[in-house]
Amino acid sequence: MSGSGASPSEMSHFPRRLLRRPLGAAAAEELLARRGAAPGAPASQQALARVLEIAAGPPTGRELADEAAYVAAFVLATSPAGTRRAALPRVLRTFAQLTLAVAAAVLAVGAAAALTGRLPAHAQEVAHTILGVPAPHHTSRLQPVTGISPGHQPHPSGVPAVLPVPGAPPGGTAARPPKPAAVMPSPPAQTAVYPKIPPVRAHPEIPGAP
Amino acid sequence: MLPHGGTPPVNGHYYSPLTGQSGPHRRNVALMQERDFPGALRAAAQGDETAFAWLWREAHPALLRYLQVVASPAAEDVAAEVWLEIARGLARFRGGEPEFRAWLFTLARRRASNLRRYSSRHPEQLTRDDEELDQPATDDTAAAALESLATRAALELIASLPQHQAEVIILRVVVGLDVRQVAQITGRRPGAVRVAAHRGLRTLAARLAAPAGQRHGVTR
Repeated sequence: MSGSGASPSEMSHFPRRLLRRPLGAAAAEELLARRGAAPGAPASQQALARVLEIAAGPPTGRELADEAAYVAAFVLATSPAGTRRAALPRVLRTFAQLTLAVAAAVLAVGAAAALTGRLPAHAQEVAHTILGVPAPHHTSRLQPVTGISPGHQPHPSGVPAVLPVPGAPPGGTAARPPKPAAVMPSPPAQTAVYPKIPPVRAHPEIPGAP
Repeated sequence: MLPHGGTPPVNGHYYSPLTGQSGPHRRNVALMQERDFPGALRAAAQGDETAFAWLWREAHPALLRYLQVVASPAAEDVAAEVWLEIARGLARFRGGEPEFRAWLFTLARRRASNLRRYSSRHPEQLTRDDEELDQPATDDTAAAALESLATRAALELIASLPQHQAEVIILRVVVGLDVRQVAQITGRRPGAVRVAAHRGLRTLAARLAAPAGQRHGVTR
């Protein structure tokens, strides 16, 4: 494309009255569609049409000079090696998605088990502490003393006595002989004593009644 | 859709928004006569490098001019990144010419936007590439230089507009997209696109009407 035509500098020679007529919407659409300015259009619109024509002109040699480099880059990007390199992140993405899915499933199953109290005792205790789910059903190894025998002396430190840990080394509180009665008092033996029921007597007003 | 309302192919040649006429470019005439845009897209998606070269020649000049307006000093670098992304995603691309152009310029717009955001956080003065110093001489070097200068001057005049107006004008005039496509790419309403283009053209006309010494003082 040549640079001939009405250059912007040439436009200053036109009368101002002709140059400053406003550009209407229809004329603007004509310019945007690259149909040029109308024959009787002001010189500024003619110049604008020329500027747009130059801007949308055919490609210059400089713009197309890097074709070989771009084609080489395309070949490299679509070659099997390039495809493998590009596929690696996809594999990693898939692996990460699978890992997340498995983790979410494990969490869901664990939460359901914790809510229903089916976790192992220790895990249920942890879940009870952290999440407030129901406590484990069986007794724990550390349990406060609920019943104290009359002869029992409180610990001098004020720390409540605990059950001796089975297999713990002798010495300290664990060395004391266990007192199961003090820890978990068994309920008193229920003797079958029933209140004495008076004998049934005949009702005086109901005939036939016993 | 083809530019300007879907101009049908003439003798097998599609309208080119860059040349403004139907028919092949001056390069690789034989290849151009065999290709159409959908066929070239399909072939390039399967790794055909000649088809990719055809697509590149069709779209790259407009892409470069668009980037000279919206990402001026780094237009070449951004264009290279966009084409690399195109090359990697072409095998998964589905659509025809309008979808391809929308994809191309959406990628370019996103890259340019990222570059502007990065540049605002990391101020750095980029310089233009050396002009024609490392280019082989053509048959008519003087004419080629004048041609390039005229194009650059026209683009710089458009780039002096507020960015959204300049972007809309380039997409409509240089790339050949219609209002709906420009609205889709820029994320604006068609009415806003039309208003921005008209305001930009009025500003340009006013600048061209102003005396040479006052052109830069025209209110945007």
